[in-house]
Amino acid sequence: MTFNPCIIIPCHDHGSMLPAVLSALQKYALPVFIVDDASTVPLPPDLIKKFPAQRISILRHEKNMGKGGAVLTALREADKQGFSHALQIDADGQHDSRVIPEFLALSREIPNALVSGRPIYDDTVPRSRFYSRYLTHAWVWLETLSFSIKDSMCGLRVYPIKETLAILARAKVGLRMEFDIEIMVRFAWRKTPIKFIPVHVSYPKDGISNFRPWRDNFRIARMHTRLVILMLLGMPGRFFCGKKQEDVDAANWARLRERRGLLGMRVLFFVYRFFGRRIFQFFLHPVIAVYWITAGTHRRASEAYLRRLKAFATTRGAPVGKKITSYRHFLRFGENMLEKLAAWRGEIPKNSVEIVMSENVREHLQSGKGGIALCAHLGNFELCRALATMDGFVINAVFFQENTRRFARLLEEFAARSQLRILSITEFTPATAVMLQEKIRAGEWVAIAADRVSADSPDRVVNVPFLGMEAPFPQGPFLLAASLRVPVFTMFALREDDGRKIYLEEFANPLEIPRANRLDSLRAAAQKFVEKLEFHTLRAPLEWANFFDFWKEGISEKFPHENRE
Amino acid sequence: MDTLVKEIKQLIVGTLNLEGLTPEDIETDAPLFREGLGLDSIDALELGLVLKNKYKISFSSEDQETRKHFYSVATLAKFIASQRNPDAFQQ
Repeated sequence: MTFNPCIIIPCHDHGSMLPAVLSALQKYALPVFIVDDASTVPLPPDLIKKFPAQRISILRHEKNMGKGGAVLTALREADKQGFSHALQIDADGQHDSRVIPEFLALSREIPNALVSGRPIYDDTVPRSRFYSRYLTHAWVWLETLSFSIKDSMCGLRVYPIKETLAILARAKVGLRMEFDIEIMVRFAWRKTPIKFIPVHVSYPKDGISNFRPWRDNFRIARMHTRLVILMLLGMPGRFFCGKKQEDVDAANWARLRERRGLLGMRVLFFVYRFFGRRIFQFFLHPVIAVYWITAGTHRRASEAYLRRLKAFATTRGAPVGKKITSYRHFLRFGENMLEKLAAWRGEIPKNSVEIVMSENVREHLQSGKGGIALCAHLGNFELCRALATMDGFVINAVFFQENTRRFARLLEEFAARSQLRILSITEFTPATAVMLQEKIRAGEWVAIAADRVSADSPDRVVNVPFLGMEAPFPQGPFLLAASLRVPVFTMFALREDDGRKIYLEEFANPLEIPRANRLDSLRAAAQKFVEKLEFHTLRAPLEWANFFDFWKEGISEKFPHENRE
Repeated sequence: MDTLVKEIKQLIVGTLNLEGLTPEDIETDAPLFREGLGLDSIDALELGLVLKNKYKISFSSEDQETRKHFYSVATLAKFIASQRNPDAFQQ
């Protein structure tokens, strides 16, 4: 598509300013579409004759349709005539037209982008309008869950015509004063780039404003409410990182979770950062309730887990209480999200976490030596940050998917002070082994979840009985721990009835999985880990965070001696 | 190069506990993994660590690259030699 721009000017009762605006535009020699939106004051006569060098078309609405309506009319006409981009400029002359070449250049460079002005005000702007803009900024940030929209109200912008008409055809966008804002939010939702160029804005003396404070502020408030609801409606499904998804198997689940989780996380961060912990808690109940009702797969997984847990606990002669229900399970997961946020922001008081460990482990920690910590999706790993009270204690959390890199970046963005580092690893290779060994030798810790099957090698599992039935566990963490020849521990960070606790326990030093006896020793290592996991799961059942069919039957084991591919 | 090849073979046998196997039994050009010597992923990690400590080499984080270097004793020797003396290898 060739870049073929035109200018559009929506006009309602600003006719007297038009000659000045047009003469400033003359030097760019671009075709101009003026939409006279049922002005009560007629446009100056002979506009077309006065500017013979410019191709001016005047379109007229008999009935006032609002600024958005005028823009829509102009865009349709421009599209019909084969233009690709439309530069919109206000008719009242508040924009400095000298920046137009810059707008067009950027638009030509990124043809699908919405290029918008970002106003720099001089002293002529009324204070009240200045402040109300900030209110709008806050709304827009919430609606888009990002700070990328720097200004949503500037009327000087270049629309890519096809993209804009596509949005307008699909969504019901308010066409009055709210139009400028809403169309930009919708561009952001579609992940279409939005670019900003600073422009000087002055309010012309004796200028007439078509902005009617009561009516238009009401419309704008209504629009924001609508947009926030639309944003939230898209949210609960993503809140826990998974849409309603039938038959999400363990392997895919890891991938899905990550992708969808990112938006959920952003929402949480946003609410938490802007409104604080109490508001967040208040919002949790309805969100969890909606989620519990709609997320059938996760609910069924939770119910199946609890059934198995209860049956197993009974056979052990220590039945779990009646309070252990699927809804509470969901709710705890949500609360743990909150705890994560709090922990990431360093807002969990360190003395509120009790670290349970033997004298041996304490000595090991105090001597500044590192190790591998085998963990599980039970409880709230982020509490381990509390361990960082000891000087120089660094935990590297290992994740196995490529796309966790994005997640790691997000974490950095929100928790810059974090002492927990995320290592994103796609596969165990000699290079990663070397890297991890160096870290541990330098006294750092490496935490690996040993309860989730890697999405990249779903058959590298070892089936071990857990809560009375065989479940697949990954081989990787045990193989890695064995090959590094370093002390291995288990680490569980749980919220129990009497407070937050971290259990750091010795596992093996070093873990032996000798060549002659790989299979059996691997199975024995996994079994030893699962016994610890089972012990803690029974003590804190709601902390279980694997909301999928954990026992998935029929995963066949594939062992290291059977080489891959 | 020959001494290096010999050293690597000794390291493999010494580190990996290959029962009843002597360095001389390992063919220089035969694949180490799969159908060749039959090493597995845990062997690769252990071997990588030992080689790194002995020769102070660094592996690429690109898995494909590392796989190529670990194909046989010969490729490993070539890789280690190139890391020790990159200029000589260029010629």
